Amino acid sequence: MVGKDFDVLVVGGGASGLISAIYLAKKGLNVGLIKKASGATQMTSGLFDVLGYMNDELVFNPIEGIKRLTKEKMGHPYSIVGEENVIEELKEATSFFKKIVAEANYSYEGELSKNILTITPLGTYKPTCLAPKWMYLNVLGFRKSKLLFVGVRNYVGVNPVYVARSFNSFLLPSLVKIDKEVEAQAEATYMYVPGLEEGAATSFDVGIALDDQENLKEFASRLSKDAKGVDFLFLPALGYKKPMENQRYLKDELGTEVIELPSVVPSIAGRRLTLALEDAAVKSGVKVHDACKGLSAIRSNGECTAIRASYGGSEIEMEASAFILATGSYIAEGLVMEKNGVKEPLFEIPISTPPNETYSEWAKKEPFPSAGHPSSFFGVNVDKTMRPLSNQKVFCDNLFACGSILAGYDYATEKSGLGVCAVTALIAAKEAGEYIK
Amino acid sequence: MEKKSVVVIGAGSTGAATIRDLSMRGIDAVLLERGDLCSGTTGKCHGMLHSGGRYVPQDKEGASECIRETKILFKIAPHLIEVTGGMFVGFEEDEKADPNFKDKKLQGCKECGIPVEEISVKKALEIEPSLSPEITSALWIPDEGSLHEFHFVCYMCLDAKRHGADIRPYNEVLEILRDGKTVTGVRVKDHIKDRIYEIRSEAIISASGPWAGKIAKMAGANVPINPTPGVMVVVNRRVVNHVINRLRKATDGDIILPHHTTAIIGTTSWPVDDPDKLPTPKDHVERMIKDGTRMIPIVEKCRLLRAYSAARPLIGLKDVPGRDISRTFEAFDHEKIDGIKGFITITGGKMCTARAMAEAAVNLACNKLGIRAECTTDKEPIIGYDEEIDVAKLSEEYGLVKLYTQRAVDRLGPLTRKALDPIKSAPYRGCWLCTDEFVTRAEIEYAVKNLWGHYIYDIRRRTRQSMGTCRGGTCSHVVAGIQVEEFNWDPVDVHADLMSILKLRWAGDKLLLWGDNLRQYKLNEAIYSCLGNYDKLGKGLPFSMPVFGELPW
Repeated sequence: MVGKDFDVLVVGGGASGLISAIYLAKKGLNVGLIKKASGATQMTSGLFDVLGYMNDELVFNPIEGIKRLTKEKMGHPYSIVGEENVIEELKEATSFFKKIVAEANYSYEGELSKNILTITPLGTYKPTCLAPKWMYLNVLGFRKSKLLFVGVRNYVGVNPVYVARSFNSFLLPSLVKIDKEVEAQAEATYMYVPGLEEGAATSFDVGIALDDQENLKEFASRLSKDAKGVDFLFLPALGYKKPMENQRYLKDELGTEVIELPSVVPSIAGRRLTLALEDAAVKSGVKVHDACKGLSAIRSNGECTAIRASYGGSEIEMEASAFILATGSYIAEGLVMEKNGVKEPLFEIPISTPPNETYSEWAKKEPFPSAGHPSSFFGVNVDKTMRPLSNQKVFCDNLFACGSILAGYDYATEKSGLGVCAVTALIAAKEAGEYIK
Repeated sequence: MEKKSVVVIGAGSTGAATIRDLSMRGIDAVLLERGDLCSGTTGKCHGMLHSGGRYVPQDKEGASECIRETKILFKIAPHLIEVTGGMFVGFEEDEKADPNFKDKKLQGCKECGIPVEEISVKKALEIEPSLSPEITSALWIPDEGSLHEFHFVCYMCLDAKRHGADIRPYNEVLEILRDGKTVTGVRVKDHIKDRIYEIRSEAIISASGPWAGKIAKMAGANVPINPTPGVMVVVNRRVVNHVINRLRKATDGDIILPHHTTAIIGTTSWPVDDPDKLPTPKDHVERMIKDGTRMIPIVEKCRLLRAYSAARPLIGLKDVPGRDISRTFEAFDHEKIDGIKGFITITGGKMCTARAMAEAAVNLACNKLGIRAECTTDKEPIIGYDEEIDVAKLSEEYGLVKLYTQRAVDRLGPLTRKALDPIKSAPYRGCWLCTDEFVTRAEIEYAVKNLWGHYIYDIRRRTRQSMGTCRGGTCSHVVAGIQVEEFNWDPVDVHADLMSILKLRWAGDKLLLWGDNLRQYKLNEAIYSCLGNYDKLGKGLPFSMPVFGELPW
C-alpha cells in the first residue's frame, strides 16, 4: 500500500461522511474526504431522529421500536446491521456523535430509549430522539405550562401567531389524546432583534445578531415584560456560534426556560451541525477537500484504486486503500432519478428498481403519503459490512457505503434520518478500518 | 330577494370581459363563479396573445378576430401583455408534407391583415438563438406575445367593481329559475359562507366556456359545445424570447412561448364529454417534450416544472376533429334557438377575443332589456392604465430591492402603489417570502384584501407565489401563517388549506418527477414530512376548497 494518497477516502460531506471520516482519523488513519459542497445535512432541522414511527404508529422508545423493526422490515439498514448488533452499534454511534460535536462546543441531549415530541415551526409536532441542548423539549411534559412564541418581525420563516394558535387548537387536542395530563396555553408576540431592525432578515441574521453580547442584552430587556409568568419561551434562532451560551444568558435574565424551535429550510441548525462536524473533522486530522466533486472511480481486480475528481476546475486522481461512499440521496445527488431508472453516478453501482416501471409509478397519488413514496426506498443495497451489492454479490471489496444513499428505508416518514446515518457510518468506518489492516 | 338586471355565469376571460362591459354600460349586474376567478380554462391556458397567424389559412374568421382584438389590447391592456413578436419555423419534413404551406400562410395573413414577413434562417437564429439550426424556413409575425391571464381577468373584474358590479367567486349556480320558458333568476350556493340564496334577474349570460353545455342544460337550452383539452408543459426557464410556432398545419406540440419567468410548450387536442374530468395523459406530456425539443433543442435538458391540461370550448359537431373547428366565437340567443327567453350563451373564441365576445353578448342582452348604451370597452384602458411607474423611485420609497419592485410592477401594473403602500407604515410588510417570484408580504395581503384571494391556492394566482422552482415548498407555509395572523383563519383550516395547495401543486409536478424536479420535491418533503410531520398529522385533514368533478389524485 505504498504511495497511496490516503488509507481511506470518504466521498461526501454530510453527516454520514463526516462521522465515518472522524472515526477513522481518531483511530490514527490517514483519511481524506472530498465533498462537492456542504452536504444535505445542512438542510436538516438540527433534530437527531432515530425512529419516530413504525407502520404509522408513534414510537416512544426507539430501542424497542428498532427491535420490532428488525423483525418486520428485512431490507431496512437497521435490519441489515442486524437484530443482535444494531442497538449496541447505535449506542456507540450516538455517543460517538455526541462526543465529537461536544468537542466543537455543540451539545446534544437525549437518550436512545426515549423519543420526545417537539413543536415545529409549522405549528405541528414531530417525534425525535436527540436534539441540541437548547432545542430539547418534550411537549408531553407540559403541565399547566404557559408558552410564549416570540417571532422576529422582519423574519418571515417562523410566524409565532400561527404556531401559538395552532398549538392551542390543533396540537393540544391530539397531545391530550396521547397523554391526558398535558396542559398548556400558548401565546405569541413579535420583536425586532437589536442590530437587525431594517430590511428582511433570515434565521441566520437573527442568530448572528444575537451572538453579539450587547444585542443579546438589549434583546433580553425587550423580552422581559412579555416573559413574565411564562414557563417556556420559544425563539426561531438562539445564536449562530453561541446558541448554548445565549440560551443560558436569556434563561437567567428572564427567569424562564428558553427554547429554540427546530429550523425550517434554509436551516440555521442544520448549518451549525454541519459546521460542528466539519470542525471536528479538521481537528481530528481528516484532510477535507471542499469543492471537490467525485467524477468516476477507477477499479481493477474487484478493488477500487482511485477516484477521479474535479478539484477547483482541474481533474485529479485520489488514491486510497479503501473508500467510503457517503454521497447522500437525491437532494445531494448521490442518487439521480432518471425517467427510466435510478443511477448512482460515481461508482455506477446498479440500483435496482421494479422492472417495467418508470418515474410515474414511483410516486404515490398524494405528496406526503404516510408510508412514503416507492422512490424513497431505492438506493444502494449493502451487506452487513456496508459493502455495496450488485446482484447479491459484493460490488467492490474495498468500498463501503453509508447514510441516505442506502436502500430500504425512508427517513422522511419514519423520522429516522440521522440515526441511520450515524450507525451505518460507524459500521462502514469500522469495516474499512478492518479491511486495510 | 336580491335583484339584478343581468347575471353573468363564469369568471374566466369571457365572463370578466362581460361583467366589465355590462357595468361600463351602466347595467346592474353580478358575476357568479363556482370557484376562484380564472380557475377554469383561462387560468390554465397557454397565455398566448394571438396575432391570428396560427389560424390562417384554414380559419380566416377566427384569425381576423384575433388580430383585431390583439390590436385593441395593445391600447387597453399594455400592462397585461408582453408583445414579444413571434416566428413560424418550418423543418424539412414540414415542407415535404405540404410544399405550399408557407405561401398559403403568407397569403392568408395578408388577407386577414396580419403583418408578416419572411426572414432567412440566419436571421431567425439571430433573433432566437435557442432555435434548432435545422429549421429550413421562417416567418416573422410582430403582433404575437403573451397575455397574463390571471391579471387580465382579475383587473377586468376590478374595473367592473369600480363601475358598480358585484363580483362573487365561490358562488355556484345550482339552478336556473324559470317561469315557463322565461328565465327569472338563479339559485346560488355560496361555498365560503356555506349558504344558498336566490337572485332575480331579467337576463342571464352564460360565459362558462367548455361548461356552457352544462349550464345551458340547466336553463333547458342547448349549446353544441365540444370540450377539447390540450396538455401543456412548463419549462423552468424562458428558453425562448418570442412566440415560436411550427410552420405547418396546426397540430400537436407546435407552440412554445415565453410566459413570465417560464416558457410553455403546447399542446394536444382530444375530445372529452365532461370538462370536470380532465386527465393529463403521460404520453401527451412526453410528446410535448419531444416536439418542443424539435424546435428548441435545449428543452430536453431543462428542468420541466409542471404539466397540466385545460379544455378548449370549441363550438361544433362531435365528429369534426378539434383542429378543424374554427376559433371564432358565437353569441347564442336561446330565445331564438330553444325558445328560452332571457338566456344567452357566449362561448368559443380565444382569451384574446374576450372583449369582442363580451360586446356581442352584451349587445344581445341590451336588445332584450331594451337598453340603448354604447360599448366603450375598446376605448377605456383596463383599470385606468396611464401612469409610467418609476421602479427606482418606488424602490427607494419603500426600501425594497429594485428586483422585487420590478416584479411587483410586472404583476400589479398600476396597482403597485396601492399594494405596496402599507410597507411605508410597517416596513416588515416589505419582507420577501418568495425568492423565486420575488413576492413581499404586502402583495400577499393585498391579494386577499382587494383581489378576492381566499385560499392559498388562489393567492398563488394573484402573486405567482409557489409558481416558481420551489413549487410552493418554501413559501406556502409562510402564507398559511399570514392567513392565521392577518385574516383570522382557524389554524386547523389553514393546515388543511396548506396541504391542499401542496397537493394541487404536486398533481402537476408528479408528471415530471425526475432529475431536479424530484430533488425539489425531496426538499419540500424535508419541510412537510420530515419536519412538519404532515405525512402523519395531515391524514385526517379535508381538502379545503370546494371540489367540482374529480380531484387530480
